Amino acid sequence: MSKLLRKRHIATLIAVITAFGLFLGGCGSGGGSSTSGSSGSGTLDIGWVAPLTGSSANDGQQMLNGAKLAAKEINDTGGIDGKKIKIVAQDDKADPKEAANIANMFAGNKNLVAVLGNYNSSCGLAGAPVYDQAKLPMIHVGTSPVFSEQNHPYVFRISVTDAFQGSFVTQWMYDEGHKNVAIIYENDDYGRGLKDTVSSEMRKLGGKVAGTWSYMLGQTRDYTAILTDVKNSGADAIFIGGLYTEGALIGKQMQGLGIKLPVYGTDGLYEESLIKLGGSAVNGWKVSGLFLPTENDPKLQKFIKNYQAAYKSTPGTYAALDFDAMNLLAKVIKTVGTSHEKIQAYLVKMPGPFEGVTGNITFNDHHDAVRKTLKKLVVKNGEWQLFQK
Amino acid sequence: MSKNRLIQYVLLVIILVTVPQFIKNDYALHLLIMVATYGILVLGLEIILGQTGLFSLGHAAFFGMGAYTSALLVMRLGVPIWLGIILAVLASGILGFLLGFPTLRLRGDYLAIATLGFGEIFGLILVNWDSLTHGPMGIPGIVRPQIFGVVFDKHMYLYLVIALFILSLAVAFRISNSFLGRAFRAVRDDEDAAEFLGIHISKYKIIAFVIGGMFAGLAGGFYAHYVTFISPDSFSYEDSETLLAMVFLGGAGTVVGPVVGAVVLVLLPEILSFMVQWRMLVVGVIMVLVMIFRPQGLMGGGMRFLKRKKELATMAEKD
Repeated sequence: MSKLLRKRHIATLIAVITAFGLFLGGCGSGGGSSTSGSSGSGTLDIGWVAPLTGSSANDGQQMLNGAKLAAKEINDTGGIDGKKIKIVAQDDKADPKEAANIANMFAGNKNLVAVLGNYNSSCGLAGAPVYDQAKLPMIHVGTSPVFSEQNHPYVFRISVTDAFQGSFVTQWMYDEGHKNVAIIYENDDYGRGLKDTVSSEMRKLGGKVAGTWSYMLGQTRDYTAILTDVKNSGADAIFIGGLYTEGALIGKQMQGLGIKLPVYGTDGLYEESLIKLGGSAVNGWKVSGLFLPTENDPKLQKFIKNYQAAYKSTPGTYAALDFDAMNLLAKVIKTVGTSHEKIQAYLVKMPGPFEGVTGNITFNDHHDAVRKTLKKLVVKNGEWQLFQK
Repeated sequence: MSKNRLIQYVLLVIILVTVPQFIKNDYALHLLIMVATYGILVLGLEIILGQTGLFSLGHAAFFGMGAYTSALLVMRLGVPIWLGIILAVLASGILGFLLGFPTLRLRGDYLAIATLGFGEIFGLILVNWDSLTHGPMGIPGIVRPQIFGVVFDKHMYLYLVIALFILSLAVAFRISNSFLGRAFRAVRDDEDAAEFLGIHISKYKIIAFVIGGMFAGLAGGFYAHYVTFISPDSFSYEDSETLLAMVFLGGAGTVVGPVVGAVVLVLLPEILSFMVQWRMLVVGVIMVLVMIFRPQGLMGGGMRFLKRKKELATMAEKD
């Protein structure tokens, strides 16, 4: 009986494998036949991948909105050399394995001109070797320093590195007279990178680090123990290396404990939601950011007006980053065409900075976006404002 | 090995060797590689869960152990890759031994929670033991294997993983059909009766965890050198869940069933990828439907042991 059953099972397994093999073989030959399509077809296909489900879905959706808005503006003005941009969007679920799957899918799609890539650094790093091998240019928004160490030839970072943000904010704290800082950080690549930079930069400037405390993203709810430690450590300022939800919680609990230390942070805290969740508890918090929606810059105001009209919400940092990335790609394609190698070569050695809504961008030897400076922002009267001394 | 079975294996090998030759698309090759990797992984879970009935929610930890062991040995100590993968298998086996011991006294739900905790602890160690694991940054740039100076391309990876998969499948069948497998199923169906018949329950539970861990270690070692980047995110609780779903979808206790589950659950989301963020919803609905209309799994018979338990329970009541 069991022998018969097993025989049937092996037979079924063979059938299943063959069926899927044929299916994949079919899609393989389909991909092969369209190899020549990239120059002949009427659209310019741009791959897009970031999380649209899971805990980072909000930022992922903003990225997609930003990219789509840019594509729509380009298409409305006639596209690039008569060709319309088409975004091929995929959801990586913030899972590196899925990101590798999608990278391979994009690498197999010969119509793709370039890819706007992952939000999570671990996802970007899982896909990077595939993009390199396929020579498919990819622009991502990860922050991990590992990208700079690895020097992936076809991978470019348009976001700000932890190192740049961290040292910017450290200098700012030091200038404000805070020389003994307590660091509370999220225990992942983002928070870790910031903690390391702020610690080393502070010491370099001659200040001290009163201590470092870590928490788990989405899990830690009670910060009273950490905050009591911070209070007793004699710190004169707090740096938070994390995201706004946890930031607001920390703020509320500081208020409850009567701790009145000044708080600094980076773009992870820079969200409307920080003020919505934190209320008066986050008043006076200072963070670094790429742009301020109320700023008086015509390019930025146009972007914000169009974004609000299209999506009924205010764009955050990541919407702006992918808006810039898409426009940058459009500019490159207009200049050098759709050849992957030429796009890569252009991005490596840009003739002049690209002027985006997040500032003027060029790429350095590590393919990290170089920006002159960041904006100093502060919560005042329940809204984000430019910091003034 | 009977003549008939030999023919079947030969047929399987011929198909698995020839089919990849016709696939030129990198994406299709990649998916087949992932299917085979998950195939090896679920064969391990099948031994723990399907054969022995130990509800393990921490299988991704064994996968991670294999991946990190091989990656770290190769990158830090310069161990040859092939030796690294073998050591990964051993390390995951040892981890299975370590998990097996404290959970010996636990059954059912309690065991599930203990293994869940084990998976979480393993993840936290990966994140926090910076000096060894490079923490949440992960390990990038893991070297690819070479043969005669030629670095592996996707076809070579596929053949390698197919060879490992066939080896695993053969071992899993042998185990299932040997004294070991019968002892596993005896423990699964009724611990007291098994003990009465002279089966050392603790011993076989630990053996199940060790063997299951070794399968996962093999898959992990291969995965690390294939994707060339690993980080703690790749071996999380969700992955243990997915593996569990593969086993039950295909049919626990049937050896081939979980492999079919792996084929379906790796490829289905990709086939549905045109639906972008809605695809997992569809996958979920399909899973619910399968569980309603085919609770024994696609390959059937999987939940026989549960039914058997019920029968035994009713018989006991009658007495």
